[in-house]
Amino acid sequence: MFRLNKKKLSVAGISFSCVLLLAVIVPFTRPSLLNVLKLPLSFLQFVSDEFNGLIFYHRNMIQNAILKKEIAILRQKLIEYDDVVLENARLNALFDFKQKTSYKVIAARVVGSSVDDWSSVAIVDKGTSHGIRNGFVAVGYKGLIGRVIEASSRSSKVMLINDPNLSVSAVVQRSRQEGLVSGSLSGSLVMRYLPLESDITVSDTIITSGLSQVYPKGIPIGKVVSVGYEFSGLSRYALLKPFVELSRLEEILIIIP
Amino acid sequence: MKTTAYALLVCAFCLLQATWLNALKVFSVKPDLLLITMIIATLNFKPGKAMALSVYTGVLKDIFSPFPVGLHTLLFPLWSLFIIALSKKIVIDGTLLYSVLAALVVILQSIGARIVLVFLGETMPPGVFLRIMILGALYTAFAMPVIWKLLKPLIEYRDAEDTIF
Repeated sequence: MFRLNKKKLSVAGISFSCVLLLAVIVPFTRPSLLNVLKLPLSFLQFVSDEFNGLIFYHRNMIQNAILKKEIAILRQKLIEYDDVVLENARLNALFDFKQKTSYKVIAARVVGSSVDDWSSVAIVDKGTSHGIRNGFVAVGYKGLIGRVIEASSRSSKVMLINDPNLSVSAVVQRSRQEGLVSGSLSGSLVMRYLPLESDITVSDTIITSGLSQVYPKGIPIGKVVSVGYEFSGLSRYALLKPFVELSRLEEILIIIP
Repeated sequence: MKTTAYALLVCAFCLLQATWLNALKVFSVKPDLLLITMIIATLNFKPGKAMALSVYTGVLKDIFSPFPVGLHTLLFPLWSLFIIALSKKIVIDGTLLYSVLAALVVILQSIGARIVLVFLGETMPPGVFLRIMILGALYTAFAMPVIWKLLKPLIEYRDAEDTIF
């Protein structure tokens, strides 16, 4: 009886040690395992996109017409913008200001997301072989998306701004009031640590402050939808609606500093 | 052979969970297909195979997670052991009991994962935690009968083969 218990105990001990070892090893082998799964993931995402295209054909058609109108307006604005850029360059040369470096970006396609509900992660089809490294900032055409947290040779994981573990130093564009934006794993973001007398109102635009030097300055984050007081009564908070539709990401741009 | 087929099916479910299931999100929560497959495997395979499948399912889930340790690799076999112990005390048969068990395991998994992640320095507001835990448990419980119906032919086919040989 004792021998049987001892045998069982050693089997249980060895099994537990193996599982523990595996749990420690898994995070290190994750990038290469993700590379293996990249191809079926891309295929499933492609099928999903095509299927969505068929289902939402009418909506896409209307959206296409609206976007064409927007493009016409934006083209006009671009011409005006070019003039401003040229004027800015002339003035900079005149005052000998140091030119702000423009960022190089890499476009990547989203092929998957996190499988659990405890994190907000997007898996993209570009990795270290394309120049992507951990910590690089991901943006969309409308604003900030997140940050690269794991880059393998042919794919990368991007933690989205609606993940509670990602915080971004931000400012109110109008009043330059500083705060810290973090996620809530839902469609909205929270801007915290706002003083009681802070100048912030509904529909204010929030942008990155550039203070942490991780996120470039001036990237749009979202619009304020409501402002309230923290439970402690010592500070205020604001709920934001991100400019980028984080639940429907298809392509993202990764900034190479 | 049936275990291999089941393992391949689990891999397919994992890929679906990372892609197509995003369209079925309710309040940013989706049903946990991998947890469901782990429960079904535990209740229908022999303990040794069930444990191996639960470790495999945990590893698959960890490939997609951003956490610094293989959290699911550790927790899935633990829930598997819990279900094996529970099934020795009470008879777990029928879709309703399967759903109740799925909800219970999701709640345990959420609490377990949170405790580990708090020690690793990952924070989450209590409101968000409760929302995800309760909705996740309900959604996974509702998805259980559908997945069970899909996997039942494979499980029963295994049973028939076992009887023949």
